[in-house]
Amino acid sequence: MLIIFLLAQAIICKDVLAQSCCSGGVPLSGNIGMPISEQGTWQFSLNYDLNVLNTLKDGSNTLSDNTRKRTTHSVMGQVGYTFNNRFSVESFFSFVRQERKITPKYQPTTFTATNGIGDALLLFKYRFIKNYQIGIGIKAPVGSSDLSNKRGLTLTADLQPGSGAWDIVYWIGGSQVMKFRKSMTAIGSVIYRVTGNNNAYFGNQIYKFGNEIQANLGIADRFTIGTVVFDPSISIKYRQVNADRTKADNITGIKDVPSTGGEWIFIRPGMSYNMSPSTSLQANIELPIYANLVNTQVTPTFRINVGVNFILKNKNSYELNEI
Amino acid sequence: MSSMKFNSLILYAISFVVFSCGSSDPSTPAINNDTWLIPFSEVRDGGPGKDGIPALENPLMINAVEAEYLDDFDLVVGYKNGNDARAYPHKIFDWHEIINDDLQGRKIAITHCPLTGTSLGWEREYNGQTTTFGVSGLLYNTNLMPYDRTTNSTWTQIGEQCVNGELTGTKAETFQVFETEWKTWKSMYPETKVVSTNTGHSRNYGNYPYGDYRTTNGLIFSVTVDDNRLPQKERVHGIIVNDKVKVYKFISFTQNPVITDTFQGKNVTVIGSPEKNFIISFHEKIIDSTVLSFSAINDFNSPEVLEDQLGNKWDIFGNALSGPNQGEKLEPTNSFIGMFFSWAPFYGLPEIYNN
Repeated sequence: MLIIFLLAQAIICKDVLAQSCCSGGVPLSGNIGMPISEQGTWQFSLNYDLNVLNTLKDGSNTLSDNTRKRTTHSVMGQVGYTFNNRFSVESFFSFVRQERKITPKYQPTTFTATNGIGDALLLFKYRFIKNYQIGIGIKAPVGSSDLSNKRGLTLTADLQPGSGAWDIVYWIGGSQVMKFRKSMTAIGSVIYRVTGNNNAYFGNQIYKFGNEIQANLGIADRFTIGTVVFDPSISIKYRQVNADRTKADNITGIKDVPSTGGEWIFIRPGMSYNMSPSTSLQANIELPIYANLVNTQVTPTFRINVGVNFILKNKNSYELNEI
Repeated sequence: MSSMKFNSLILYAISFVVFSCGSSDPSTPAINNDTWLIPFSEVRDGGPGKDGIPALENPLMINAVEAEYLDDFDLVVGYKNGNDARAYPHKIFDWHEIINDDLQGRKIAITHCPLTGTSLGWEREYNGQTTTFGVSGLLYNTNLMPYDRTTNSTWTQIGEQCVNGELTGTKAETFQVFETEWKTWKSMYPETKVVSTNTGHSRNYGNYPYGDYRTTNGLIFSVTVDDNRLPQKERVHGIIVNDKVKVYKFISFTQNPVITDTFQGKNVTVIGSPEKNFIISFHEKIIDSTVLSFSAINDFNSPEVLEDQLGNKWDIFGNALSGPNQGEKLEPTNSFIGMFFSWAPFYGLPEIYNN
């Protein structure tokens, strides 16, 4: 059962806090929604996430232009603790590198990058039925949102490691073992993020990333090669993001930022390997199979996520009761 | 493979990926901020990056009848050199912002900022060198900042000068362009060429990329001076004299298409038509002690659009096409059309013509 939950962790909930749809965004894209574990158990995970946006789309049509490339590298850490049969908590932190590379025709390539600590998340979870949990979290703007390039110019929101805003995250997730095949599990989750305002964007503007909803549905199974046990998985992710909003003057209210927002469907094959009862490794790749964007945007081309998960039980740990 | 060996291999791979994620940063060299002629703190990186919005060079031109992507009411920026009349549509500018062109040896750049709605004609020769202009990706008061590719200097469009780099302080040499709708331009110059959508770049030119920006209040980037006396995005014609601006609304020309006015001690003639969607202006013209006064002719449907009391007929670029003073030219004002909010941050609160 533990393996199933670890696998669930690998499948679901990636990228749940990625910010702007037209960018690499602020990728608090960890594994929020850690699996259910025994009371008194600590869970740790460390992941690397590479998100490459090099596809230009107009609505749902792909344009023949790859001159603009946005890349986000993230190293993400997570710590979770299970208090009792019902309640658990997890925290999330990250280090982010944002890159923008322009390779125009007949002109020199230009490259811009920022590095820094990303925003952090604290998620409180409640186990309401057997393998299902619900949670609410708050994302704190501990990451920088006013970094500059080498010329000293403050960069736009999508190139910042942090968002500068407090967000609220609602989460629900669960898993179900297939009756026809005990090693196979169906896994799903839904995340809804309500974003706050960055009231110091460029010093005196307001910027708000679009609210976001994300749904994941997948299956995982198991096979062995010799003594090595693998857990392959595949999932589908749907993501919809509202347009970002900004307020830049004292005359009018907040308004939509052009060419932001849209919806995507991704397919995500993955693999998990259990090194020991307490340690597992996972890797997955995320490929877009559908996107419908507001106007024209640079949109994800592929994403790779690899990580290691570790469970630490203390002497008082014991299995949770059936609900 | 034993489980332990496999574990070691996997851990090594993970470590390599996690800890080798950094990459070099060959960004453009740091530039001394002190050399900026404008408040550096007000310069913004707009997001797309340098040349992320690709300027065009000598774009393919097509005949008017071939320009099926244009509707009658689409705005174009017209320019005419000799018999070579060309239209540069906003639909193209929305994606490229700058068009470097060559009309019978005359090298020009038409710069257009979608966020301020300003279109200016710029010469391309400075300090004896011919350059092309590109989109720097920077904004000042939410306005386009071109850069010249010869010296990599950064310019401000509405401010009409170089503000950073080798050419700092150099004034942009501007020339008059004529912004109007496609139907009007075609009726004046049926033989016009117009930029093709075959630009070498894959874009949906039928799609306006800024949503409701041009029709609603609200900015994306802040400006140093807010001016709420008119709707922010109302298109007005601004005349710049002594770093002051007077703006003219389209509605002012409903009754009379020709306005004579004085601003900063300069007498000007302003011609406009809400129906034909243009406003243009010239300095006072005196011929043999006669101050010319103008009236509109031909309903602005032919190259001859103005007539003076001496019997001269003039085109929209101020050329006397016929009459006793054929060949004379009116001196254009330093003026262009822009969204109302865009003037105050550059020239202070503009005077508003009100009839």
